[in-house]
Amino acid sequence: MSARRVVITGLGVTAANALSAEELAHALMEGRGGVRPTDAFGIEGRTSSAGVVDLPGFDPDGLDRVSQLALHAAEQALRDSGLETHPDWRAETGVMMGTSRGPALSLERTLRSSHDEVRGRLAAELPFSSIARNIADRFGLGGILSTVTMACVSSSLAIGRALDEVRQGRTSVMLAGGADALTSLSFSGFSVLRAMTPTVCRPFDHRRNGMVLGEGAGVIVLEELNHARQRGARIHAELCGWGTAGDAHHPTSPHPEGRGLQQAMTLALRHAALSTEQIDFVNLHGTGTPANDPAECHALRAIFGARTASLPVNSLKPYFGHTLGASGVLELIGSLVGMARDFIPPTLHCEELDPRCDVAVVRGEALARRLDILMSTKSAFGGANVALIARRLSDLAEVAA
Amino acid sequence: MSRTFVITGLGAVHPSPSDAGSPWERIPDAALVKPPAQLRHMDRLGRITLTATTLAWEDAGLGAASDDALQTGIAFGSGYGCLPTNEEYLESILERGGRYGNPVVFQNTVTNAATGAISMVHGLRGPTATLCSGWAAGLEALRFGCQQIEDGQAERMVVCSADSLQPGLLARLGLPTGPRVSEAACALVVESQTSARGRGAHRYAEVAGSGHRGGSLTEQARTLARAVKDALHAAGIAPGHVGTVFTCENTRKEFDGWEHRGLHEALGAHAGRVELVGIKETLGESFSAAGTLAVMQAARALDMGRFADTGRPLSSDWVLVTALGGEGSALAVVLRRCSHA
Repeated sequence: MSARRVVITGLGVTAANALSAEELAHALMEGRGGVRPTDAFGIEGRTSSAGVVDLPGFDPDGLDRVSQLALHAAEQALRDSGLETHPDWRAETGVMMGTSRGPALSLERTLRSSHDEVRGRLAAELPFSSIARNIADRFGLGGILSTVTMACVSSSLAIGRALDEVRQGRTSVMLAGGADALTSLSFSGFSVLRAMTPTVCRPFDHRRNGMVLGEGAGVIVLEELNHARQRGARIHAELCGWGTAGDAHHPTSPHPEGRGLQQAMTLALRHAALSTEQIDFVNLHGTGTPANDPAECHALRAIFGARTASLPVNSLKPYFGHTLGASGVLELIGSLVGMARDFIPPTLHCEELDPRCDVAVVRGEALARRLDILMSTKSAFGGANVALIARRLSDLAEVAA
Repeated sequence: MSRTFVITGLGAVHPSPSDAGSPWERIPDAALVKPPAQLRHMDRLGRITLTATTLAWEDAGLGAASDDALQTGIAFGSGYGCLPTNEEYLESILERGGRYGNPVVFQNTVTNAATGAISMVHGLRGPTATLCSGWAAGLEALRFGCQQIEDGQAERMVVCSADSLQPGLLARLGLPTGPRVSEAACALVVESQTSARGRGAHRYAEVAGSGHRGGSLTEQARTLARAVKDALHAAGIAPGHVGTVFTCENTRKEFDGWEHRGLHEALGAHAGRVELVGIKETLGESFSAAGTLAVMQAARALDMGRFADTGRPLSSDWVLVTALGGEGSALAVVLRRCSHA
């Protein structure tokens, strides 16, 4: 493929344990999570903990909380990219955002309110597309505008699609990511499905019994390599491939052998023109639910074969909870900040591996390791799977090539 | 576009135009396919979309079980997605408490529940995407499907779009009451020319190019013009090649003004010579489904060389389809008559 190369030049994080990519790097290095008790959405008999964000400047009468989370991340990503000092970047810069619940808080407020004034003010917030719209409006962006709603793979797919737009030469810069806020809808729904743990989230551990919800947002700036070089941008990594595939198996449960995930990883490797031997680390979805983790590990073994025993993997969900549509981008950023600092964050609370998850889970302390190429995978309700591949691009000679 | 994409299957479900009379039209339940037992709890959005995709799948001559499941994916676009189901679930827990939510309703509170269910029915294990970018989401799904084929990630994509809004939610969304609103779903089977020829499939039309732009809500005409120019460029044609434009006009003065100004900016003097077809006059405003319905009608017209309703011949082998997202995005798709030589 003679397509253009695409790099990541900006990172923005809004999570329960970090309000910037730098803070996230420190939190992951130190094994510091942000999940804490909350009584806002407590459901009897289930966990009352969640990854709650203390959002600076939150305006309860402003945009939907999910848009405010997203704007916080987008602002950081743009500042980090240095684009704001570059002339004429806004007109062609697009936005692709993923979300699962979208502005569900505004929908709930609309249903609770009998005041026409309140309902009228909230109407513009109700569509899922309002998040991307609000970002484009705030920063005056005139490029492609798109919204992905695919549950827990939403932001991963948004990033993959943004990669295609830049790679195919349709634009030089894209903002991509995702956001989800904590909502009654999610707390109630995952509770009645018995997907939430009454204790702590322990991905891959034999005692795991569910997930912890979180809220947050992540945004990355994707930029065509030469465009980034010409303006002297700091390059975090190259985003070099992605793939998506369906399980075609069950409305809510993953295929037990992770067959859709296998195909997504295969397509991502093909898209990136890489082999399994070149992947140094895989950030898995790792929800901590009984069904998800073994399915993922099965898929990993099917794709990586004998290498699986020594291929480090982790899950970042215990740090800030399962942020649904934001999980893909937040966990990609969490992996990238580790790659930049030569470490792999450990999987919190994973102590005794489930024999069905006998893969090389990084546990205990951060693993000091130079990474050149990493993969991040996510899976979702509806049998959707996405894999993203990123590589280190710090060698100036390589950049010049 | 280096590969050639062709439309080989068409399917749609919407209220009959002859039933028009109410400001809000619903598809009769009898028109919907019955989902398999495992999917009996699909919501209405899922059911109408499954009906359209089943019709398109059969029209494409595809069998009960795909023998190349990994090469066949799905792209679903919806303006409002699962918002009606979210509303249903929230109303129930606000009334009875969070612990009394209905899990079978909850499983449909993600828009890709519909995508997943359709994948199960037709055995689609290739790329999957669910997009909610406003009213242009149907054309965006078509564009995504072509991209996946272009990149070699799939040989065939089921592209579908649907919206199912009830009057209460329409009011909550503050949508203008001007145009008649209609529930609708539409699906296309799009595949590589090689795949279609290999299995001897009937080819309705070629998807020759597309454009996707976004912009300020005050500059919708300019955004549409840019999307149209991109689509013409991708198809490798000049404005003068276009004979007919299937528009997204919906009788709202502001909306239609953007459409006309955008076409004039993109097509120049030729805008006054193209034939404009607005499908919403007969089918009503069906949001994301409208763009895909327009592609379906355009593909049929190109296939027959004439308009299905009037029998009048098409003036050119090239047709343009446009859609405005309502949230700032604009999409344009160029279709071309297939050579059956």
